[in-house]
Amino acid sequence: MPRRFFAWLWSFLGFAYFFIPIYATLEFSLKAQKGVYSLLAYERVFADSRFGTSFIFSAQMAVLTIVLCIVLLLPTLTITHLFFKRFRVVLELLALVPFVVPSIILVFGFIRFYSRPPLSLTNTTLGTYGLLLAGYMVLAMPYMYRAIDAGLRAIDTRTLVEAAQSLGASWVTTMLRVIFPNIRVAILNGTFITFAIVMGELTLAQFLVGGTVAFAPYLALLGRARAYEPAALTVISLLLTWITIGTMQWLGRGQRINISGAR
Amino acid sequence: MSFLILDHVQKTFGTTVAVADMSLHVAQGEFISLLGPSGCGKTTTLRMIAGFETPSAGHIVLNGVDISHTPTNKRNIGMVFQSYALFPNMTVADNIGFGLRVSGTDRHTIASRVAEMLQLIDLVGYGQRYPHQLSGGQQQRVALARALARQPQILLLDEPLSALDAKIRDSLRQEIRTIQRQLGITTIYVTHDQQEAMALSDRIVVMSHGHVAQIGTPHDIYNTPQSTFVASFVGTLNQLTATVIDTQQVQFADFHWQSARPITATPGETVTCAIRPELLRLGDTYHNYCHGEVRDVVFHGATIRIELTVATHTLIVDMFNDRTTPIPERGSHLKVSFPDNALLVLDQDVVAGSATTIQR
Repeated sequence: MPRRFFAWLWSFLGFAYFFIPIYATLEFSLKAQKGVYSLLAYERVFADSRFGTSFIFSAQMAVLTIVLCIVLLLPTLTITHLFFKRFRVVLELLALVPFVVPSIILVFGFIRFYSRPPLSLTNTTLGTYGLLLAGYMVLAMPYMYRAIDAGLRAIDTRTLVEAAQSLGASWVTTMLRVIFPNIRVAILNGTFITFAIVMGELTLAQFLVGGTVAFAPYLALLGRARAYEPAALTVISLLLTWITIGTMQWLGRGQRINISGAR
Repeated sequence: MSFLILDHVQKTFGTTVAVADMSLHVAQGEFISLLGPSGCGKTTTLRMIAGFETPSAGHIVLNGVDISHTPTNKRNIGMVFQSYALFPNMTVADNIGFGLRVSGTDRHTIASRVAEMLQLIDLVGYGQRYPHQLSGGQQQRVALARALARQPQILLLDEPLSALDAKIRDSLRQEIRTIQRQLGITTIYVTHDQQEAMALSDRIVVMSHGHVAQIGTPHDIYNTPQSTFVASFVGTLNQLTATVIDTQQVQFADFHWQSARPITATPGETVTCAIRPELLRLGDTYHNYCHGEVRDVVFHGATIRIELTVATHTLIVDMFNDRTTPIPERGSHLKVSFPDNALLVLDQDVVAGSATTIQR
């Protein structure tokens, strides 16, 4: 059957396209010792304390970015959905700005504006971290915006809010017990993309905190200086990504977005 | 004193007037339907009572308290939506108990109240299911239970049966009425379905273009509509164009008809006359009569609907299926008659827009 043959062929080609580079990287990362396969490169990566500290720093920043993005965007978008439908267009355009303005522009803007009075934030570590966080939030916004927006569109937000209010629920209760749980999966999608963005973000981190404080600048540094370790790091990153996706699937298990009611 | 008072309530959205001037007094325990075509302001009125919209003018008084500007969550109302609006993330029991939980009721009381409500809506054993595991009718019953669990002062229903299929609609309609009588809860019911309104209500408020067209019992509304709009909106109605002869008579085609009520229009003027299909009888029992060709016969079981072509008009005649009267054949000629008081002479202004037979 030619049809079946082509199905297999395309599957094979697709598979090869994805897995040959991964295999090559993996193979290379295991060759730190001449002639034998070993985990030497991995050992060296983990032996360097900067790997751990920069990873944890970036992970913390990622979590903070996610939390702040949700706190900022969820009420904003819910209110826009309910009361200012026309304003949604403006928000959508705003959410696209980070795609248009390169992060290099953003970071130099930050540095110029916030390194002198009245807001000289770059003079203190905390201030700099704050700026970094704000920058991450800007970069993550389009994704978080899309995710939450899609979630709110998928449920009958207005009626659910009204139902909750008619039953005596306050706005906070409505948000926490009705809106948030029903768009959890959508938010989770945005969350993991944000996590990935912050973990891999180089420009902002390089110029604001520099050195090896954040994960991506550390990776870049290592890439310039070593041969096998970057390959090992790539494999580790891939594994982390897969674990993340797996977690996402696991957390979202069983919850289909089921809308009760007439459609 | 009335339990719920709408006192010259108005609502405008920008330049659009949704509710022009609405006044209504509702007694405690009364079942009131707001009936009208879409865009007549019935839903907006309900939403103002619920607190989802704030009146542009006027007052809403519930149980002696002016609630015009009270937020929804402080009003103690129960609301049922067309789309059920059950919380998809919660079980049936959690949905029903939601109102009690947010008000800080203790666990034990909630559990017993939920059990009581499940009994009331005949869904015992469904407490741990999720909304998507239930049929539409079951979901709407849960929504009703959820609205009632907090023992609200007033129950508001916004076209609760529109999304359901006919059979479930009828049974749930009766169930709503039974539960409402059992609890004695004051109820406002929004619908565009006149049969629903007539079957359920103590009183019906017919609305048109943001105004109240008529308030009355289903019997009043159907038998003595005060305006052409009400007459044509409620029930099936034959509307015919006739010429006024004098204060008692009109002429339709070659037929002269007597009216029991005096006709105000001047002789020679063209008016719209209305006759309910069930008031027409085969044969010449009454003085007013006409005849025409049978265009179609539709058998409904208990009743038989005959479409008669008289002059250029179609006249609908409903007769009981009493088995002894033979069913007329299509194409045959038929004579029908009706009593003087069955003839309604309507105002001039309706002729243009809605001078057609309104059918369900």
